[in-house]
Amino acid sequence: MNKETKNIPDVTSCDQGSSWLYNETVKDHFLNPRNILINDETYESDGVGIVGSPACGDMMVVWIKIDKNTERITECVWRTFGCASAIASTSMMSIMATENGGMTLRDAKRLSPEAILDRLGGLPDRKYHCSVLGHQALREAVMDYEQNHAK
Amino acid sequence: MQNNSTVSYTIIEKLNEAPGVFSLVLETQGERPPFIAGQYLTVRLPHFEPVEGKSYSIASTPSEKNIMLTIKAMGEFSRAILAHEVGDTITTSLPYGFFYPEPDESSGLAFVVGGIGITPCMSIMGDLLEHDYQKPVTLFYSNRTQADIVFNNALDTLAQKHPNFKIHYFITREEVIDPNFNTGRMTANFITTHTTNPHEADFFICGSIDFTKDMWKSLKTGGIEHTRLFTEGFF
Repeated sequence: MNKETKNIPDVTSCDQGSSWLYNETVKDHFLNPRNILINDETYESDGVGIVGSPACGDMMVVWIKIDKNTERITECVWRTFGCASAIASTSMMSIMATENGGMTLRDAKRLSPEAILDRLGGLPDRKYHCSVLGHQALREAVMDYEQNHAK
Repeated sequence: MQNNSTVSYTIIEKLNEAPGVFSLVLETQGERPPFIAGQYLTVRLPHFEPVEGKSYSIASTPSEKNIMLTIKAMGEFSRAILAHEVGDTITTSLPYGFFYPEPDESSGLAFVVGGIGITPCMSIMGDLLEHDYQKPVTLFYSNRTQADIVFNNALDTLAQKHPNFKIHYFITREEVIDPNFNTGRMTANFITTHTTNPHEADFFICGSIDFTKDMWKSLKTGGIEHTRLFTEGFF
């Protein structure tokens, strides 16, 4: 690499305008995803949500456990066939869903992609739809719980 | 669980709503799929990327016989859809999405809309008002020019018919003398000032990704709880 090309950004982020597409928080969640579930064979959830399709390139599954008394999410685990943005945003979402004693079902249904992106410090615009995947899978999981498992 | 079934529709009407914006009225053989006002269809076009299709919000209400998609010609995919004419067939997913009011505790609803983002909001507002929703409904609607306002007449008619429905138009790229229009960008302060009980209302923000992100941040910074901010960013 010669001197002149050395400092030319490889890709330009709409959000950061710097040489790396993702910020440090996004990179951390992509490289060290929290609450990921690799093998769900023995995992017993109270609700499951699946969105996307492997044929389309993106797929997301979210499983939740609910405290029946408080109606709060006690566990939120997930697995995706998706890109770095989908991994990072769903990892962050799983933290938001379970921190501070767990999110209420009401708040889980009102969690927006923007709230997840805000905690992540932003994603490039062209990756916006990746943050929607986790959000939709969580909504599906809550709906599954309410329709099939709630007391 | 998301359903990957598809439905074929025949275009029975094509309406020019504003410069570069057209509504397609879609009729299906057999029963029209049910939907919740605010949901969208994913249109699939053979030989076009992305293969999974692109999503377009339904502008009509669930009580109407046919589904209406209102689409702005921007990007190759949208232009390809709008190249279709009356009598042509298009294939879509079943209705999907979570951009709709939760039946509950809010003191009223505010819709914060940029341009073509009016489509799901038109469906939600129309559905609520035709079912005698009594709480305040306020629309804050930003467009570049007056000519760009999609559904201008239909919205004004809705406001005349329902005293609990108020509209604040914003025009950003031309000077407007008409006192019924605000000029410049809408602000969170204006929105909260003109929303009844803003801290107990639910806000529905819809438009481009930038518009949605900016308004979400502004309203949150302005003191609105993030769980009261519903969003649908168009991409």
